[in-house]
Amino acid sequence: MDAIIEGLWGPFQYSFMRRALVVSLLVGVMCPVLGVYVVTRGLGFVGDALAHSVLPGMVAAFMLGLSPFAGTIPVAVGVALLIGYLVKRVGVGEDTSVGITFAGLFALGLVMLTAARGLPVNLEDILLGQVLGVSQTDLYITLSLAGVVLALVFVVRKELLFANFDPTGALVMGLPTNLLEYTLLVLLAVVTVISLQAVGIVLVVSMLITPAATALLLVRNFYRALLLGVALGVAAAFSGLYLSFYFNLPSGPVMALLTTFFFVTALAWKQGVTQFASAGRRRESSS
Amino acid sequence: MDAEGLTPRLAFEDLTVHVNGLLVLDRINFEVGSACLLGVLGPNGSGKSTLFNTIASLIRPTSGRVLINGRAPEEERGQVAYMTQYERINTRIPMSAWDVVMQGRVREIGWFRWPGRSDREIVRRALETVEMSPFSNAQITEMSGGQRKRVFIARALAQGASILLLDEPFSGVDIPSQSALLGVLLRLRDDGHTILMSSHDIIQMFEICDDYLPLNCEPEALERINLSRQQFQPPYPVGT
Repeated sequence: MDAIIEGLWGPFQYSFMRRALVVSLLVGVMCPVLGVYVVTRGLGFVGDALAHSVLPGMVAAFMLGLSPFAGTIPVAVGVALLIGYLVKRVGVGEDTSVGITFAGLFALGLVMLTAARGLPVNLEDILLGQVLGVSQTDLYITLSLAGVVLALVFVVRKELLFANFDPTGALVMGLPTNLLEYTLLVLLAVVTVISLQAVGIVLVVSMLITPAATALLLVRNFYRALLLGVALGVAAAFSGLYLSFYFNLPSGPVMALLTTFFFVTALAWKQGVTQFASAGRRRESSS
Repeated sequence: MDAEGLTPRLAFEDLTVHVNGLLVLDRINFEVGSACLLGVLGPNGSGKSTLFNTIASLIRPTSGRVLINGRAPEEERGQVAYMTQYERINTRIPMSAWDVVMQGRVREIGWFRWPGRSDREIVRRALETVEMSPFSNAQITEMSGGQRKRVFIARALAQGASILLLDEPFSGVDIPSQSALLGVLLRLRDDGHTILMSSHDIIQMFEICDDYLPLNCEPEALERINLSRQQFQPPYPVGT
């Protein structure tokens, strides 16, 4: 028994692991909460674009000796609003807007990273995340941002869902659909930036999209999908951190792999149930 | 008209609307009272959807005005419900009939609250009115065209709207479902609702509507319509 308890609590005798656990769990909660809105609205790759676009802000923050948040949050929010503006006001297609901002800013970030030598960070940590390197200040910032994001999503949950489902109906009823759209993009920007610490630029989409998509595959109610998505996100974050500690693996990719495993399992289970049900119907009709 | 019979439920005064620089509606003057089924008739591109969008405050008139209960549409937002065409709905979202109708309560519920007992009661009654109570847990994506339309009408009822805008309500709906849908509309009309229905299929509207607003119809066509109306028999039983 003592060995089990020691095994469970062992990693958390280190303060960096405790900080990593809190940040990972927050990412596991926040990503699916927003993810169900993002997946159903078809904004998955906006999240991916935002993650790549913040690289110049992150490098600039490191160059100035500031917290990465000081550079990534303004850039992410700015890019989110720019994408919204290009789509809504200029009439540029969503995928085109995403492609332009994503490629341009990521390239700028790579050039800046190469030009500015001696920064206390390497490209692999930025791309794949380094949750074990989260500082106490980063933890406090993450907690504050998570509180704001979750509170805001709670307040606009119904209106956001209505505008997402039937934009015209929502607008006719008098809901501020444009404001809601921009709010979703800004929330997506903030959640993406928070998640970068845990899973990095390349894998942020795995936490944002996959648990939510898995949940939407399994349940037929939006808010239940949100809750199931959170459960899957937390499970992936928690298990990913443990596995990475005991098997000396990078935590971000392990979390991403777990979310993919959950999705594939859910898909196989659903296909099996569907085939079983249709076989049953065939048997009934033939007898 | 209102209780005093002075203010029409909906009025257009010299309503002129341009869309992308093109004149679509030209000095429309018309009044509709309560308890009326109004057919908005016209060929494709005649401005039916533009008229609905203007009533719903989605488009601003170039000149003239729309009045709802004697006031600007922006001041009477909750009074108008637009039955969105299914093609414009985001079908990626899992949504039961109950969930859709509850959306009609969003404004009343407000930002911070969850739906209360009174909201649930209103939704239940709205589904009952459109005869969709047995399907309240069914997914909107798994319903027939007619059932979906009844659910969206129930949402308008839950919203408390007195003016319903129905864009091509019978398109994509089979004949028995058209009859059921029409029965619901007639009951709502009798309860005092003002229902505007657009259709490019003029013949279909003859036995349904109490009044007509033709848009960009040739005078000869209108004459033919009036003549045909006297000879017309509906192809299916009206009401249920």
